[in-house]
Amino acid sequence: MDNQAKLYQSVIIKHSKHPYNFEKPDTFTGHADVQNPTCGDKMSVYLTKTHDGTTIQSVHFTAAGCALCVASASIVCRALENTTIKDAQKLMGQCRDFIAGKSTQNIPEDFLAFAGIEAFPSRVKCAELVFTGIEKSL
Amino acid sequence: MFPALLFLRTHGMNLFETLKNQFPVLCDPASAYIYLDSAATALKPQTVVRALAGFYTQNGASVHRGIYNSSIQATKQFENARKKLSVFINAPTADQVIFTSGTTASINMLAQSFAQNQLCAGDEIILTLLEHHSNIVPWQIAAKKTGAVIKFARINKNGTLDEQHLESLFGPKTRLFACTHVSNALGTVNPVKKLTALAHSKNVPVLIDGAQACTSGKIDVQDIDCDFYAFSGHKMFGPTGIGVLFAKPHWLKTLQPAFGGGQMVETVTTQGFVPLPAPIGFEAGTPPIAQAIGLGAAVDFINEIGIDNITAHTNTITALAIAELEKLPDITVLGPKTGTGPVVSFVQEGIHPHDTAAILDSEKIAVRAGNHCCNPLMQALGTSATVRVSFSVYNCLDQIQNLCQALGKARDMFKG
Repeated sequence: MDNQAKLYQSVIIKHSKHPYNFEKPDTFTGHADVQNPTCGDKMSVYLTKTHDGTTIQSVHFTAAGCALCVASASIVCRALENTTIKDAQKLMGQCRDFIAGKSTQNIPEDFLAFAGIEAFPSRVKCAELVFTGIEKSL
Repeated sequence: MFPALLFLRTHGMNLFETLKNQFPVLCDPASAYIYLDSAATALKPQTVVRALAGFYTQNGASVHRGIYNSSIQATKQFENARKKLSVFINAPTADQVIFTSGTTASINMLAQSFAQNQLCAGDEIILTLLEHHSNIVPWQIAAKKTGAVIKFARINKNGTLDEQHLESLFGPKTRLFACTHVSNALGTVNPVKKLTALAHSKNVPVLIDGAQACTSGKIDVQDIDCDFYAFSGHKMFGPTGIGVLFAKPHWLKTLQPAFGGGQMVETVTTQGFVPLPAPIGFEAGTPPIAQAIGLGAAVDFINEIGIDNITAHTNTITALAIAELEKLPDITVLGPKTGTGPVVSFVQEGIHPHDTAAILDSEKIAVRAGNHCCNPLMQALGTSATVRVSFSVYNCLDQIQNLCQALGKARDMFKG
């Protein structure tokens, strides 16, 4: 990919304008504030585990960031709902590999819109900020 | 005769048409783009590239110490560049021009020297909210080392300095006032002569960060009367890795060198060292020789065109940019609307600045987006990022139309 505009597919625009779980919930079990020092994007992640601590019940977030940053978080927050922590970590690893251009296995459908982002290393950092936030919240 | 000057005399003020051909990077059709990021770094004219390459291909020796012809010639060229720089900023003598690797290095060097023998716990340094991180962090490091305190002068809503608030910050413990000449984020031009007079009336020395100012008008350090003036070569068509710290003689005698090493010493014993007088005493190690010679060529380039012609050209483009951007329904221009340097910051409603910049990149327009290394300023403005366009001699009025059209594409893309 040699044109950044191709990243702005309708699915990414849609998620960036109407992000899933874009709010601070009343209660949560884990929380992290993360920042991308390169561009200044900021994100707060609020994670709620089930009582036995094995499963992610929900992930909420708020952010001041670009469309790629917000869309990635929106897609990932939805994908990780009701997922065991083990599966969540596996899925996040696969998504990280995908945006690094390494693998396309088991990627949530909407996340496939990030195909080709590896050509723009600074934008990869935008898309992966949510993973850092979730990993710190676990 | 220099081609640009010949063209100006025969064709009037159409700087762009003549000058863009002298910038090799703009002449390659394969990499053709509209460069609106000169506040980050200016592109380099052929004469500067040639001066750099010329030194490496025709000489290559080190300066000051060689007892052979090429070293003697290298020293002459290097010191000639220093002389050109001193004339460029109207320094009384070339000895007051210290070569550094850039504005950031100049300010760090000064801050470290101040920390050695000028600052004590409780002393105060006054900065402004308009500063680039390079005129904040070095002072924070110095303050941490010495226990000094930093105070920030506020800005007005229009992005100009709140001079009343600044004046209220001076006190008996103020040891330095440091401020930018031209804001890299908003283009605000500070009244540095007036501010220097204010600080001097309180017996406080003044550092001016001139990184963005060297192509925004004639720099005259004697007229400003500042104690220190820092700037970079690469923002004024020179190479990267070269900059200047100007200092008044009193300070060159008072301050201790921040860096030690070869070249800067008169004698070294196991007990200690005696530094050489300025400027060499502040230039430890092998200096950036080729870069200094390249910067000398950049000064020639500016002088041939005339700084007033450059400023007139970029002022015209900047004024048009502000006027056209303000006509767009989804654009908010930040900062002063008149009397600025060649820098315009704006935000596009509903689109993050990084996204705007990415879409402009797809339209082959290079702009900067982010906090512009001005986090305290962004906080004061109530935003985390802006889109910034900045102009130089190789830009033209038509490019503002291209910019506005590309912003329309971004708007359409984010509709719905």
